[in-house]
Amino acid sequence: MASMLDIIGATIIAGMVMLIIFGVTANLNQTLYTSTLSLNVQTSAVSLARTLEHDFYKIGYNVNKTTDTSITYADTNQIRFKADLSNTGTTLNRVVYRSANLITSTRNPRDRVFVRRQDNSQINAEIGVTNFNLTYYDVNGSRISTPITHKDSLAKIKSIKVKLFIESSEPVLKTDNPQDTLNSYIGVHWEKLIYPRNL
Amino acid sequence: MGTGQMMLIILALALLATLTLSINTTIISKYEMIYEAEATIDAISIGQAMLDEALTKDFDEKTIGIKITNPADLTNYPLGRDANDVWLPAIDSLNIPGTYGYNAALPVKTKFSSIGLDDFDDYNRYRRVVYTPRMGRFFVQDTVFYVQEINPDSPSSSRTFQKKMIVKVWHQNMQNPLVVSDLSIYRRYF
Repeated sequence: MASMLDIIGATIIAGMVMLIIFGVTANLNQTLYTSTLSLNVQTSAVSLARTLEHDFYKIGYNVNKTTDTSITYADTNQIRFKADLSNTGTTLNRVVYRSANLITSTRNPRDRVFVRRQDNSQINAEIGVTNFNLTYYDVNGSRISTPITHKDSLAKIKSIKVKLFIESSEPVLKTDNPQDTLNSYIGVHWEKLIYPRNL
Repeated sequence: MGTGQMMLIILALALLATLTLSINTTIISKYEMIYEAEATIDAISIGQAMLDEALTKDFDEKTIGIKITNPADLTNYPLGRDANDVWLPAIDSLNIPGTYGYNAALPVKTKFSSIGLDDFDDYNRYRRVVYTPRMGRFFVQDTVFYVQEINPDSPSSSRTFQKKMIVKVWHQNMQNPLVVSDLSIYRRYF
């Protein structure tokens, strides 16, 4: 009888130990997975932010304001502008930033292709951009309604608020509600109010 | 099962529990690092935007529309907002219905509180609370002072043609505030 109790007790303790080990292993894997995807998302956000800042600060550089307009089209998800990005003094680059179609090859239902076009060269970035939003302000800090197409209205733009939301391509986070798949992606939000010096 | 064996099992379980706790602590630290990194990314952009905003303003109240050549003609200490400038308390993020990130729980705000500040040193002791949809509230505080022209890292007790702004940005996920700074130099306005 005593040896039977020993066996049952040992089995229970072994089961508890195994459960603890499984739990810890699962937590470690989850953390590793989350941190890796988080690092990827944050790296993408910083890279994209640096590219945006590089170009947006140069909007209107070497553009003749009396005969030409620096920004040619401005909407909430798209901007087209001119700038001498390479400081040639003669050649103006035409740049377009916009978010395009949904990406179907990932499990994230919201990520879109992010497009940067410079003259005839276009880059379609599939880095998990789920929201690319632009807001335009005049010299008084008042918001200008979009889309802005008229030359006079475009000339009023003095600052641009850029908002980016980048999410992981695969779900990673546990949510309270298993049906809630939209909040299970890890993401990074970046926003900046940019004052292009040449506007 | 003898008492000795029982003691060994209890000791083994205690060791296992200690190991598990330390692993969980490591996991929590990892998550803290992730959130701190995310907050830092936002804090950098908020701090830089504040610098950019201040640098679009005039160098000094006394140089608006006028050129001066003697630094003694500039605004003296204490620097800060002028009598006609208006600051608004509470959250200072733009919050406009119909735009991305609009939060109905916060008051509608179409202009920054700094809209009335017309020169660089008005931002001394200026505070702003910036709200971002994902990370919540960031607290921003500016400090502006004159610096020595031969050594812009050293504050100057007298007026010079160079002013320095230091922007501190706090967030609850950050262990230390983020600090960014830039110089405003009068000759850039000529």
